Amino acid sequence: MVKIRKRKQDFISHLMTPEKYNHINFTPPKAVQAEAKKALLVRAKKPKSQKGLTAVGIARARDLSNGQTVSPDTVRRMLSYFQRHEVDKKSPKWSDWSKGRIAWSAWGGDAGYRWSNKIVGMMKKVDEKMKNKTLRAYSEAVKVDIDIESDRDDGLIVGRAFKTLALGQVTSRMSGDQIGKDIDQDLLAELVRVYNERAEVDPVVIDWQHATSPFQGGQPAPPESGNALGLIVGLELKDDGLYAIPAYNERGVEVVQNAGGVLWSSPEFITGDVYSRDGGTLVGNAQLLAITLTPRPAQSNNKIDRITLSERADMNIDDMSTDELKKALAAKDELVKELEQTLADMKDEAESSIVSKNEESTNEDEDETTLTEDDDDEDEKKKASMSETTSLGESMLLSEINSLRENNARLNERLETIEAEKREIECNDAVKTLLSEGRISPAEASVAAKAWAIKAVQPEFWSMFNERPLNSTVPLNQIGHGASGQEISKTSLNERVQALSIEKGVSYSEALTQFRNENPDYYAKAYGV
Amino acid sequence: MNKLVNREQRHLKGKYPRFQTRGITGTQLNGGVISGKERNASLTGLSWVSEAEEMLRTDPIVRRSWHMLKQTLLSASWRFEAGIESDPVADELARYCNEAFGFDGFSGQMSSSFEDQLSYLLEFIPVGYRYAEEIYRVGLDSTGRSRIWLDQYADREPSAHNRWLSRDNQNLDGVLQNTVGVTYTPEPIPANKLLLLTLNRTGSNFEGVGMLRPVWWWWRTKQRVSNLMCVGVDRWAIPTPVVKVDRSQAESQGLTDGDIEAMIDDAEEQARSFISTEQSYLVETGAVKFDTYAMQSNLYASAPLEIITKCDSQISSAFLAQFADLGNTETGARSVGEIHLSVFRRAAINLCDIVTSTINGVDRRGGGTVGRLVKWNYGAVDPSKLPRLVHTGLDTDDLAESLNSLPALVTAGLLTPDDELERAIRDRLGAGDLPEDAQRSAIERTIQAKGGGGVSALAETLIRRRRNG
Repeated sequence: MVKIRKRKQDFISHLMTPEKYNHINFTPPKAVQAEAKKALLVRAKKPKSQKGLTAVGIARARDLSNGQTVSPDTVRRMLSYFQRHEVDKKSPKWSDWSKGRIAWSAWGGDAGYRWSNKIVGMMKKVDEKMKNKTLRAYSEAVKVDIDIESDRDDGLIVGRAFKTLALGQVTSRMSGDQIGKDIDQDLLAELVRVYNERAEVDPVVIDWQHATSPFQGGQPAPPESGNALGLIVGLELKDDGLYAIPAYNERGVEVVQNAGGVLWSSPEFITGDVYSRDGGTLVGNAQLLAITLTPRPAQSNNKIDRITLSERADMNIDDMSTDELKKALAAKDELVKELEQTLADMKDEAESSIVSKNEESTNEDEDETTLTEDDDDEDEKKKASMSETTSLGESMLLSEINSLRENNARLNERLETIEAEKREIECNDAVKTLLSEGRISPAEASVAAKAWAIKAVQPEFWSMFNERPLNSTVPLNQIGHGASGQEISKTSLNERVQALSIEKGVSYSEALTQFRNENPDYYAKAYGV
Repeated sequence: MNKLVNREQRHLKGKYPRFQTRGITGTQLNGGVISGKERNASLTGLSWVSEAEEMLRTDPIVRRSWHMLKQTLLSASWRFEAGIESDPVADELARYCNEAFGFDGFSGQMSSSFEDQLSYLLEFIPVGYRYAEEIYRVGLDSTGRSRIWLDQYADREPSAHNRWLSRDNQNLDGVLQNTVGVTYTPEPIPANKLLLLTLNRTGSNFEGVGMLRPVWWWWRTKQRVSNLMCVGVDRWAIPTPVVKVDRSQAESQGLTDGDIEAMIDDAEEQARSFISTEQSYLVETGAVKFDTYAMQSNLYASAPLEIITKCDSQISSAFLAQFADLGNTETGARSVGEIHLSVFRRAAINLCDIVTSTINGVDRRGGGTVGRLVKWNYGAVDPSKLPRLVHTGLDTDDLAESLNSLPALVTAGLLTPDDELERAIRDRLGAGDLPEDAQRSAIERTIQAKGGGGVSALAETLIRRRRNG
């Protein structure tokens, strides 16, 4: 089972590796595997408070210890981690397998540092070569109200539609220069038109990180090359941009699910005269070639929505930030209002339908001249029955509305409780961190907690505590040492040289030269160098 | 001249308190090294520390005297008392400190017990000084609140001391330790992170004068005398051999002068080897034989032993432990021993007081651990409410000692043996409480003790019954 999972992960890593890196071996070497394995073993023996390692660190250690092939991004993250945490080695607790040391080994240790440095260097060389050939695609994805989730005949699963290209000009983050031409309604309309005409011939593939893009270097890759995550099965032009309806294959579903919402879209399209591959006839002025999924879109994040399978994608309320919770609450309130409105409409419709039926039956009665008493009784029964149905329907609707309101109130209450608990936990963590860093004393903890509570409106109060130097209030660090220290001074140097001179039977100057050559650090320290 | 007079008489004109410091401590502190207090250069700085450690390691009398004092000091019991009685804040501070140090039933928040740490902290007494770095940590107290705790008084050996840091050469700002190896250069330890224990500190002499310092001359003399005695043993424990030649025997054997000379040379070589204990036997010939100057050795050891005994006595007296020598000498009496013991106890109490006074009090240079911990954990607190570290168990019990004279005092009418006195004695002796309703008068108690009744006792009983109705 483990082997199967490993093969699967290796395969995924392989698929996530651009072809340009094909010559690079992304399998961690044995030394890295051994270091990660050691970290897991040490961590298992440590008491709970000293275990350390985040979930990401544990996963990384497991992957590395299993010798699993890692993706280029992972290697870059490894190198970034080592560069940021190299300073941890200076900690006095390093040799005692502190949390920092365990984390260092979990990421591969020194061997991992060397390996990741080497691999990233190789990747950089390739990137430099390809730099001028890279396509700069851009996108702006926003949430779409369309919620489509159904299976297709070809086995693809239709996911949530998303806005993939917004109107307006896109500019470069680096220079502020305009990128490409202005996206206008005409361009989008042309993209939709060409797509509708040529969808069968030129399917718009859902790509991963522009992996199959012909502009990434190498030969153009067809959608069936295996890197595709699915197809775009529909394009829709709206007032604010172009919307795409995706249909994912099995791998696409897995990628979108595993991303947990940290995924955006980036369309690849060409403008100007576009010709068909089969015959070279002019097909239009613009064509959408692919929509690629990427965790690192070209556009600023605050304008970009996430790619998920559906609107009901994994929502873990405990993992959401306060802003996300507020947005979710607003969306829920809106939804409840819509439901209430729908119910009210249904109620009106039902009433009007009943009224119209009554009118029809009255007309029929007037036309008939041979009414018996039994018939009259039946009519009365029908009316009574309809009246009961109407009142039953009303009461059910009211009951549902009340139920929704109560549910709404409960959710509000729960949300407030969770928010309060979350705030308290965050506050306690922040204050505890300051305490453990010696920035504040316990006597100041309550004031610091109040400063944290108002840091959004008055950040200067919080910074009074947060920006204090480490160990400035309580010196929690150990400064001295318990050893019977060796004094190094000119006097001690003189004594040692004299002793050497006597021992070797040489002159003082010869002994000094010999001592200096053999103990350069000591000599330098004695002279304060 | 007038100016000089004015300057000298200026102090007579003061109307208001002068807050400005004019004088200096007088201790010479140059480059972090204390000078001018010790004339013997080999007994200053690190040389003195290594010399003192050598004394403690090698001399049994020095070791015994210090061990006796140290064990007495370690037998003391410690706890924190509230700065003010019946004050909730003071009580809480005392509770916190007792929890921090592991007194009063608390398991303690230190990584090792305070008593264990005392075993190295008290080493300031023989050497003169010792400092420890206070190591703090964050943890929860018994009520679940985050507190700063003292993890330990980390020992910083005097042999690792480099220099005292003082910007004004008067007040201590910190200490710098020696480099360990050539790779680790320690940072200065600030003075308000230190517990500096000094014996006989004067002025800015942070190194003080250790108990071993006056012992040093006697220890040195004892060593020299011992060495001389050993040389005498080497020289006089073996009789001096003499080579003798029997000429008539040589002539009868027909030996020539050359043969005899060769035999003498050989005998001389044998005698030399014998004296130097390289050879334990002698080979004689008929003509050349061996003899000695004296039949027994000339070692006279009583004089050096007397000097050594005197040295030992002086060493003991420096530690006020003369009572330990009473059994070893020909003189001595119980009363003399008790006086010595009493003085010794008083000295031990004073030494413990140095520890308590250094730890107690507000946050300050080289001391005030209690003030620091309270300041961090409770904020600004009235210094009078700070807990006080106290020690018990070293002082003699005056009441218990005076019990022997109790009958004489009662007989003389100077003390009334009533129930209150009995309660006090019982309390001190731990003999259990007297019942609350016991109200025997002194007369009743005296009569009961004699085993008889008596008119006066009967009358007193009747009077009391009448009063009580």
